[in-house]
Amino acid sequence: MSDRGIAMMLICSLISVCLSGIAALFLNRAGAHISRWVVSTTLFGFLVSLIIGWINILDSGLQSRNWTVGWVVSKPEFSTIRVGISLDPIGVGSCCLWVLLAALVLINVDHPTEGVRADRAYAASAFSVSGVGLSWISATPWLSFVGLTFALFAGCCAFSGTEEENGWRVAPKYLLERSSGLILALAGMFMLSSAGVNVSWFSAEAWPPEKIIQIGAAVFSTGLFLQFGATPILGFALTQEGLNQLPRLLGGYLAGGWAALALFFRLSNHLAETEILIPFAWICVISAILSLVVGLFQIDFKRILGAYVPALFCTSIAAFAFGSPLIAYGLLVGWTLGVVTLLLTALMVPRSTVNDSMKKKSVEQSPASFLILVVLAVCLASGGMGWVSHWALNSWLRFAASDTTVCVFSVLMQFLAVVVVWRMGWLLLNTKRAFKVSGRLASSAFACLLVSLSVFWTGEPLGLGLFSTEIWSQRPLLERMFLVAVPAKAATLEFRDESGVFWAYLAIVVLGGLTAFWMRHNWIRFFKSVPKAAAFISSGYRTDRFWGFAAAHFIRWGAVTDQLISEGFWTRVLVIPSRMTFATLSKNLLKADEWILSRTGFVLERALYGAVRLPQWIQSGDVQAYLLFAIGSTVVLLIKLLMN
Amino acid sequence: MLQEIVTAMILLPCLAAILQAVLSASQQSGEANTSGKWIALGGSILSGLCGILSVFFLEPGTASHYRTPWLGSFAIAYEVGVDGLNGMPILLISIIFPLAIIFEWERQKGVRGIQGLFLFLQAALAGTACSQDLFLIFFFWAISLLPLYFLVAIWGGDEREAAAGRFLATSAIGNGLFFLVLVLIYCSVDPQTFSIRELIGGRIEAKTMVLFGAEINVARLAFALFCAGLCCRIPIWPLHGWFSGLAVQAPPSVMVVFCGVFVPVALSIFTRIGFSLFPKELTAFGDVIIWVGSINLLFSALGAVGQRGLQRLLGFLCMALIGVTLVGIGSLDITSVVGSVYHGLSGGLGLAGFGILIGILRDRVGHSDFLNSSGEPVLGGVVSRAPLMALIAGVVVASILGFPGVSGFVGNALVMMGGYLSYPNAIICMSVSLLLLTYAIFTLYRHVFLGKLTVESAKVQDLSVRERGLLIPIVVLLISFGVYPRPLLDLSKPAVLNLLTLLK
Repeated sequence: MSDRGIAMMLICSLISVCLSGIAALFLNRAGAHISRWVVSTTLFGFLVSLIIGWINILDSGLQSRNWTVGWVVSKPEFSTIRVGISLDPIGVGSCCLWVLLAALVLINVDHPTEGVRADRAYAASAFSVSGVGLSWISATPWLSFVGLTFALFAGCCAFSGTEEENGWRVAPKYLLERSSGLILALAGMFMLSSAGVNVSWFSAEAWPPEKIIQIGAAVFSTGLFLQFGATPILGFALTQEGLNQLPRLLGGYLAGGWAALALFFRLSNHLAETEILIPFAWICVISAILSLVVGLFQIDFKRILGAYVPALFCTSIAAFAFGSPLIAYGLLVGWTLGVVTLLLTALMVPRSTVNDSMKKKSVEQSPASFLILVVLAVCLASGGMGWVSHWALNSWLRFAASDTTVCVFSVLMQFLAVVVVWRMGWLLLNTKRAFKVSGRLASSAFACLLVSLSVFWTGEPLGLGLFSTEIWSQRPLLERMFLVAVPAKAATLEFRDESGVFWAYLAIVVLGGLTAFWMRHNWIRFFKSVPKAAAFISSGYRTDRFWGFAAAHFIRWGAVTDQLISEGFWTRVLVIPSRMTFATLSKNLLKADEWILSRTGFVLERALYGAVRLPQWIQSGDVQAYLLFAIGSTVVLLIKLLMN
Repeated sequence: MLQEIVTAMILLPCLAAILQAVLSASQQSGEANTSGKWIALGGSILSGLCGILSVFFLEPGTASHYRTPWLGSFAIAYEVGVDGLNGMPILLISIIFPLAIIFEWERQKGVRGIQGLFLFLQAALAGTACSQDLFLIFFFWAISLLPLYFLVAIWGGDEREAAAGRFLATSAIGNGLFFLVLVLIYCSVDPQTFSIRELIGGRIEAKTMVLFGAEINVARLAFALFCAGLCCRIPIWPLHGWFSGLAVQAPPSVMVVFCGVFVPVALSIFTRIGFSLFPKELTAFGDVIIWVGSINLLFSALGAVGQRGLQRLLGFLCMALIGVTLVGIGSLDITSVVGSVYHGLSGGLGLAGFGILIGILRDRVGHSDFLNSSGEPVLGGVVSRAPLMALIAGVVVASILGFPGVSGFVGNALVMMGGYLSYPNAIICMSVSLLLLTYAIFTLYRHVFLGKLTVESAKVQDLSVRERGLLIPIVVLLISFGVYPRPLLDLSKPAVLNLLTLLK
């Protein structure tokens, strides 16, 4: 199949997934059962097209297949906005993973049943897959941004997919934060394009560390960072209710982060060239640590999860900068599957039991299968031995060992992550109640565990690599994928092979687990001993209050500016002075006119009076005048005669 | 053939308005209303079809042109044409005016009057957009003031007279200044002409005149007067005070036409005249234009954040549209100027959609405020009553903010990409403004659509068939122009390139 054919097939199948999400919204509650079929069918179609794409990749010797076309302008100019599809193993792998996760939502949408709107959940899963899928199989950033928009829409559907009033409060806040991030990321990408750098994934041209490019890269990275929802915008995760719904975890938290990370991964080399990556990674490290600490100070399972997921993305960025994209991706996959498995196991427990487990004194015992699943989920999410997350964390430590500061912070992050995950695990394990394990949820959780164990570690789609030594199982599939996707970076994957690193890693995992075990009944006591600090940290460092304060100020400034300029400037500087000027001018003109009129009138009156008097004299027949005239003329005549 | 189509586009609305008036005089009130409405809609749609055809048949890089003497002894000609520059305003006129007429379909009182005035306004703006002669542009541009004035003064809110009066006074000053430009240019060239095609090439650049004993460059004076005149006619900071009143008092349909058509047409004639007649001045004052645009954008974003009413918010969004377009024009870069031309189209469509939504909400609840004076939500939870309205509002809002996949993205992208290298500060300012606008718009969306259902919002019903007919075409166009903008960009790019060559 040609590159164009593959691209068209993938695009069409993704569009159909997206349309199925729209259809689910239109079909509403009443048509939820139809929506389920529609979304499932389109997801299956997408999966089939991915398989066909994968076969093509195999046919071409694991070479990526690219197809690009001008979007906004037809000419292939340097900075033109071009779009296209890139089919490579890592993109296909990510898409397949998300189809699986969406399938889990479709299967388990009725857990818990109260207040969840199935139609919105279906729509959210469809938009999640189309968003993440588009981001990962795009050949340029522009389609990834479209994917990010879909992911944002998925979150909106997931957060508004409830009958609870609180859900309606959360969705706009989510929209606002993530949209701001999207706008910033877009602005950054526009700046980079404008600065003349080639923003295509596969461009070999370097991005010079010039100021104008660094500003663009910084704005772009900040925008993507906002997609993670980590500290300082963590407050959102802590105030909302109901993260114990799978659609919310996938659509609201994971989809946006995954879509944003696609851009990071693809532009990894270029971002490193701008020298912006390391400072940004440090911000992510601090943010992750702060978020994990917030997670530790929560007493509620879903809030711990809410703090842990953003930290996951920040940790991935740190692993990305201080390790390699391969490690970051491994971590992302492992932890994503870990949190999904954790939530799936948590969903098995009847509602309200999880968070009250510490308070209840019951002799009842949770089912053994549930306890096993919880332990496995915790192992996966904390990087336990054998899972892809273990491989990633271990590799990261080997990279970090060369720099003491990086090493200290990496160890701290990993330790905190392990404690937080085990804290969630203990909350579940302490459930003192007997209940029936849901077969669907258990099999879903098991599917996640299997995927994280077999595909990404052994290199065999069915995990058969565990029992064979064929070529496919010689190296982790993940590494093989990256060797194709990011050859330059993967080639540098030569970290120190120190055996001490493995023991250090093991110590972190064990110490973290032990700390969580030791503190499992003491957290509340600890919080009570430092009430103010606990309240401050558990509220997400009160950053929400800061944002509220800033927003209130902006609103006030906006109103004042509007008042000052629209009303004040216009009325007081332009309208009133103009009116006064014209009024004064008019008054003075009238006065002058009157004065001139009065003066000219007087002169005219005098002149006219004289002119009018003569005919009056003549007309009025004044005898004296005639007499005087006669006497005068007679005198003149007489004098004349006498002189002669 | 194309020239006849262009002339028909200008004349058909006038003929329809006259026919409507004549018929209504000879018929009973009810019959007259019905037939009048259909005549108005027919005239508007036919004119719109002519406009769409004239753009559709235009080959990229070409221009249709028709000239015939009008007042021959004064070198005034009827010179009209369509090219890549005015293609987008023509599309806006063709699309939005029929929608505005349909929007007023169910008005109880004065429906014929309002639709008749819309027809005159459509003719005036079509004439302004298509004219290639300065006097003709002035003629149509000055005429457009009157229908707008009457539309606000008769069908506006409680303080409509004051708002309309302010608008009339300011616009009259703007027209006066524009007329002075005409006189200056006419007297400066030999042989005297108003034709833009004949004035291209810096014919007035070297001309000087003595004013109060000082020697003044005619082109520079004319450019300053032209800019000042434009500032009086469209809301540009800080001379936008008249607009605040107009935005609140004008009926929503008038705001739809004002923001969606009037402003893009004004910006289009600014681009055409600015680049054609004053290339040196535009190059010299490009920085000033950029900063006026940036301040306009930043101020409108700040103002939008502090709003409690939908119509006033629409006014600020309109100012933001002007800001982005001015930044694009001032950058003098091919990408950003093409972007600003495209942004006129996408912004106009987005604001028209937003205005129609405001009108629909206002029809339902009787006002357009979403917060009361104490900051309590008045409207809220509309999505539970009107999900389709909320969905359409989401698409419109996404386009206004420039989300990928909708038409606003293309305009924003090109303006930012074209301008960043030369004016990074202005583009950073634009990014900040967009963030503020995001906050303002999502706050509005949260309050109106997603908040708790209020007593007033309980009255809101989902879109009727007529309202769907109004909004769905806009949504389809917003998505189409966002997904496949290339034909329109290919159309405008050669025209912009021609203008930019004049700068060199």
